[in-house]
Amino acid sequence: MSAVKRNNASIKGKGTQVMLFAHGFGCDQNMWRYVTPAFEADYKIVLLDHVGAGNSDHTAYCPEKYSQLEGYAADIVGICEEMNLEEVIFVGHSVSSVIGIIAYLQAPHLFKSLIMVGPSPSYINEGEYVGGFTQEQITELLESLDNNHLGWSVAMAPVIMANPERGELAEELANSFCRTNPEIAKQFARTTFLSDSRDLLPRVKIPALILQCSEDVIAPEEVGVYMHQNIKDSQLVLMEATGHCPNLSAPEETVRAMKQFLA
Amino acid sequence: MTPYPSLNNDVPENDCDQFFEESLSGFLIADDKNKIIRCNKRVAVWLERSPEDLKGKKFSDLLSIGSKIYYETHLAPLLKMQGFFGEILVELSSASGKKLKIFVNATESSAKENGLRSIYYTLVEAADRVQFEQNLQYAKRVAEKELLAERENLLLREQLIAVLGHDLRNPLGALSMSVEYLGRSLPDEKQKNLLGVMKRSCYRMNELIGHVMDFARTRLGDGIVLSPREVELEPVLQHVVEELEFLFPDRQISTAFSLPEPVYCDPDRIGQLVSNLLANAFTHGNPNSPVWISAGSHSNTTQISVVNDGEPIPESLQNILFTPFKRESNRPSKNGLGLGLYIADQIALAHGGTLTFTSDEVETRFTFTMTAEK
Repeated sequence: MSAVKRNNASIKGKGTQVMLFAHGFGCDQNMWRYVTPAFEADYKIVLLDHVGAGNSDHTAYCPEKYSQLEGYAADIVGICEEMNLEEVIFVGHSVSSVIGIIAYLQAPHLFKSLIMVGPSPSYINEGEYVGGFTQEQITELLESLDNNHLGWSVAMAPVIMANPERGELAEELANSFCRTNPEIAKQFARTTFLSDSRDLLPRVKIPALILQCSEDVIAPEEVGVYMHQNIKDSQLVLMEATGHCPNLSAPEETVRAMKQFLA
Repeated sequence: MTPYPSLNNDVPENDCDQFFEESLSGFLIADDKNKIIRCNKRVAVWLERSPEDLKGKKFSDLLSIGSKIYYETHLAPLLKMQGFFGEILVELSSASGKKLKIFVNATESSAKENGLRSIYYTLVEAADRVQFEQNLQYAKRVAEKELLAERENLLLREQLIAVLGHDLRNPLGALSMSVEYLGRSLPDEKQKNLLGVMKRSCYRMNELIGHVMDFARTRLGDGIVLSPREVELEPVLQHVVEELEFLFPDRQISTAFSLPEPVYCDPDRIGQLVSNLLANAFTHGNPNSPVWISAGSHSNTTQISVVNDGEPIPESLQNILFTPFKRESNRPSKNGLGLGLYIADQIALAHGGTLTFTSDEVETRFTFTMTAEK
């Protein structure tokens, strides 16, 4: 099956310059919904769901391939090739930032620049390196994945609740946000939080933007600084937005920083 | 959806505050940056911290690491996108490191004058529910394991029966042949009687082994396997009758056959069915009256009936007459394993037919009915 189909990839927007948006762990392409409208007039927008998330083909999930971030990166390259995309501006959130770096290293000729929202090359503290989590915390996380009674194992129940405050949300959309297969989500968590891609950073030779949030428990400030120091042609923007998802909590600030980088 | 009319006017203002503070549920209000502005006593008690101490913390700071990451990666985005989430199980981590499982609902408030939204959290203890679910899951696992073990046992037992039945046939065959051979050398009257007893015993035993094997086969899932063909049924029935008369010379069988057309069936199995019904009639009928067997066919339907008089079948047995091993709990067993009628019924079913019975003071009648498919 094609990567485009497997990853539920779609194109919109009026421009020719490609921006490819990859969502992070725990969500799907809907998480870009407050950001992409700002680019639709000038860019060709490509959206996708990682296999196991959203409306991707969940049956295409095979642990051998997706237990490494390389598997997800291969899908990105596959989508670019199938859609004949060139000079791609890759926009990744969270773990997808590193997936973008790996995709770029797999097929450097396809990519023009990288925009990374809340990226982290490694989540575990090691010596001087601050990843944000101790080894014990990650062990506890992995254990909590294994016992099936925390939220991880629960598929989001479809809830129908009128939300007149949010006219922009069609009801059917509200019910399908972040539909993830719980088993795959657990695997993805494992793959993500055990990954260590620090050695890849110096090999990035294209312009890169790092959007670093305040008070992000998943990717603390030290991580953003580390990435900036290790990617030669990179810019680091410290955002006022707090948390891990500025694209949702502070879309204006996010768009502003991206446009400045692209200008 | 029409909003409920506000009932504010009817409630003294401090009642709402009191409800917030004293509820058994935890209540939390966070600002648009998800920092706690206010929480009630319940939350403070769970976390072993003072409400003041919790002010300014992020909601996810109250959670254990697994829940924290789940919150930041799944729930926070969901809250921003759809404005609420509900009934999610997370784990609070108290000051002393205790873990407390709770269900959490969260909703964003409507926009304030400054355009910002607060987040309202409702927390409910989930420990009992989680325990209950774990117990259920545990019980389910145990039951599944036991079921599996039982299935294996059953299979083994049935295989044992089948093998045993098969192996018993060989020595019995040798015995039967020897009895036959002895009978040919013209023994005296007394020896002849003994040989008759031996012959009947061999026959009975052969029947019983056949029943055990058929039973095992039907339970192992193969069912009764037929080799049907067009056959003159009358000689088949006649042969069974003669065999039984020969073995039981003191019993009488009256026959009435009217089978002008060949019937499509397995003659060996039909013979077995009839033999079982006749043996059943010998065992339970009045020993001084003959047993009646009649067979007839009309258009495509073939019917065979076996009738005896004597005591009617007790009502308590009538529902379970064709169930294996279920006979005669209230009478001394005269018929061994109680498989004969079960197998007769299985043979009838295998032919797409039925085996029915009526039983009263006048007579007990078993009827096999089969309609040939066109």
